[in-house]
Amino acid sequence: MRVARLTAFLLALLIAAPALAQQTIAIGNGTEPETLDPHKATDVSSAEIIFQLFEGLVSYGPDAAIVPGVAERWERSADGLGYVFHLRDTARWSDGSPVTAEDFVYSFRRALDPKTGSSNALLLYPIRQAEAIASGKEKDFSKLGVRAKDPHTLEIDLRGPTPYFLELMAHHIAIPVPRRAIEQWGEQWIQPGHLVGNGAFKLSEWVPQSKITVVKSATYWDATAVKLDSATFRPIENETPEFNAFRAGEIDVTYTLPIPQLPSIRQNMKEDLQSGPLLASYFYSFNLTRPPFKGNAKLRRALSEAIDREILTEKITAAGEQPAYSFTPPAIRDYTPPTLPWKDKSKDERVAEAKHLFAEAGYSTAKPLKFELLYNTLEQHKRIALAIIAMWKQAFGAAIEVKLRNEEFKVMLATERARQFEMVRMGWVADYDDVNSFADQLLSDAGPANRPGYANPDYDRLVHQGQVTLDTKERARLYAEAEAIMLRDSPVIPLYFYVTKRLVKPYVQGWRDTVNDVHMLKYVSVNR
Amino acid sequence: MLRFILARLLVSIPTLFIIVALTFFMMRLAPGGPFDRERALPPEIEANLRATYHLDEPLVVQFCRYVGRLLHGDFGPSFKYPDRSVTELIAAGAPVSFRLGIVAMALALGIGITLGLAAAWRQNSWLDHSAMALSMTGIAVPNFVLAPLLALAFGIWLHWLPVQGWEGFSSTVLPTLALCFPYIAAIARLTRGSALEILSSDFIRTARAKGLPERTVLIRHALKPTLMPVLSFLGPATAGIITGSVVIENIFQVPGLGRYFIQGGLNRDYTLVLGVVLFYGVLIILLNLAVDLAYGLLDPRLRTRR
Repeated sequence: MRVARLTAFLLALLIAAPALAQQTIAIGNGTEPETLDPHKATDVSSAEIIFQLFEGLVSYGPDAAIVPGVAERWERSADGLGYVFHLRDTARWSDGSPVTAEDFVYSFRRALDPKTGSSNALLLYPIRQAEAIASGKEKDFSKLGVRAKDPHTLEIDLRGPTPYFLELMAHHIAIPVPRRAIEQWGEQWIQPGHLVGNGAFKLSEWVPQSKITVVKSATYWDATAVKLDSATFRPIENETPEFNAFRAGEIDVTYTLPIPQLPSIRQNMKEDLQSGPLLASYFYSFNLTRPPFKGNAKLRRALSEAIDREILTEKITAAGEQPAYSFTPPAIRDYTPPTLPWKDKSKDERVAEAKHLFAEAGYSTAKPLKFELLYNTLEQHKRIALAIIAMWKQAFGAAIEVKLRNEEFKVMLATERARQFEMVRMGWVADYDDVNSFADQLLSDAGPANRPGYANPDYDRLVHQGQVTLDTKERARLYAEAEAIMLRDSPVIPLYFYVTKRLVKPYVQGWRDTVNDVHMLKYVSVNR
Repeated sequence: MLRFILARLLVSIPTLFIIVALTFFMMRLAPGGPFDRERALPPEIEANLRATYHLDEPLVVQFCRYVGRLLHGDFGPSFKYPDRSVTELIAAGAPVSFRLGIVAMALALGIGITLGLAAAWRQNSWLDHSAMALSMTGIAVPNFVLAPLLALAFGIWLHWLPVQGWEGFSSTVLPTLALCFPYIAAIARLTRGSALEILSSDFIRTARAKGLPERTVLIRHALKPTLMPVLSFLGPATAGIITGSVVIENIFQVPGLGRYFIQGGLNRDYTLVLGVVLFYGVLIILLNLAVDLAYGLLDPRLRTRR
């Protein structure tokens, strides 16, 4: 018996020894990914894994900057209407076959095919005929402005100059998918054993609600640069269990952290805490299509000015969020947003000005302002709303009466889309690192994306002009002018810019918090 | 016996149909749909999505389509997880929830009955008092308090057991304990109460008067009737422990069915919620049937009445 046990122990050691030398990492990944299909995924948890398994024409560097991917270089035509991508001959699928221009043609058509039902298809609309194909008006897919000139040359025609086109090409909607595997397995192609990718890692295991494991891909063109042997993504939905798992050493990187624990984390786990700006805004939107906020810019500005954003981010959210004095986060590339005109005034001056505007807008204790503030059911939103209402009460006293209404998220979206609100809480995360991802939300023809129902022809004109201007500086100027106009009109109250909040073990190297919250594990290593 | 089982199963078909119909239409009454996200979709893309899932058809047609699929054993595709079928998701989650629930129930029964019997056997002794104190704690401390405490003690301080996941035996220990604790308490109290009543009844006095050893009196004569109230508690409790492990599954990240129930509803994943509700419905019907059959086995009076 004792001999058997000893042998078993030695055997276990033998098996474990090479495993110890392996570079592995376990990552808290939020929720269970919806799918690993790059064209169907809409959530961050899916995207994080998809970017390890696949690579587009261009990819993200360690700091989320655009770097060459399958395309080793590219040219843009002088008028900005055409791109030629030169694909590297070393690019391989995980089954060993080469990644060709033809694969990209197939993939772009699939992403836009109404049958695929991709909600990100609109990001490809700058490509010629893409919108017509996605909406089913154009049935001939060969009309799409994507052509394979030869196996290693891909030509893309645009419907208009699109300065942020490369950003779009880095999104997972522009990722190539394996035609043979999809035709063979149908929807099952994303399963382990079926999935063929072209990224730095390949899928090895997927236990729903439990874990997804990826292992280093030997066929990846840059495989020598990849240091990790494997990575496990764990869907852990709640912060506290995730925090426990991190403390117990079961995961090396968390997805987020429990806010009430922040002070203790700052004190005891300082070196594990990582935080960085995200391209995301937290704001309140007015409803400009009905009273009391319709046609009353002074009132809207008074409410916005009376809010002390520093107190909000220091005392309420308290995780390093940046107070927002613009709609577009300053972290966005090649753009410095203008700020709300009163940013540099003292608190007393602001409140005095807000009171003045409020009275000018026609409200007083005799005729109080009454409205309802809608938010989706979540403790954090409630705390923020209560703090803001307290600030308004302090400034306007009995002249303001705000009712809070909370609805479950999807119910709130339906209410908001039917414009059955007066003021609503909203968040917006950039789809791509460009000011347009924020600016086009407030175009008068943006449809339901334009929450407040904002319409200003000057704003529209400037943004439309910015959308087709290739010169970076001139573009930034146009968007800044548009945003300044919008901020004066106050269709929204920007409150703060989101930040990432993660715990990362000190032995994890190369993990950087990026503005789009995508982490390319290609650059990460573990040094225990 | 067989006729009884068949009759019960036949009666359950309309019950299940009503469950499906109610769930289907109630889900649709809730505002918001599966494709509503912070980014409002362009109308043509939303139309594509709706057409892909047949949401553009009249509700009654959709209902008939769904029931038709069900009759072929197909729960349909999930809305939230576009490349997975509901059948697949349930097949992955159910065994986990079952194992968690059944082991927890078995433990709760074993420990609970033993504690209850011991307490009744030595009524008002230290044994009785400590067993009842323990069970009062079990009833008073909700499992969402107990679970993190267990995780803190055994996972983070002592490093004995993993605090999340469902891999290998060690990861099942904490969730199972946290889940069974309140049931131990309930079963112990039920057993004690019932045993006290039985132990003071005539037939036990007769057995003792005949000079039977105390062990025989307790196990051969008193145990069976003592367990009757436990048994009637068992039907709903087993269903409850399997369906109600949502909290525990969340805290310990157990990949069971419970999470789909809540998340499915919030995501408006119509087919997933319907699938899980239907699955639970069948489960509860079967468990109630099993309890009724067990009654017959334990109590001969019920058998003859049938």
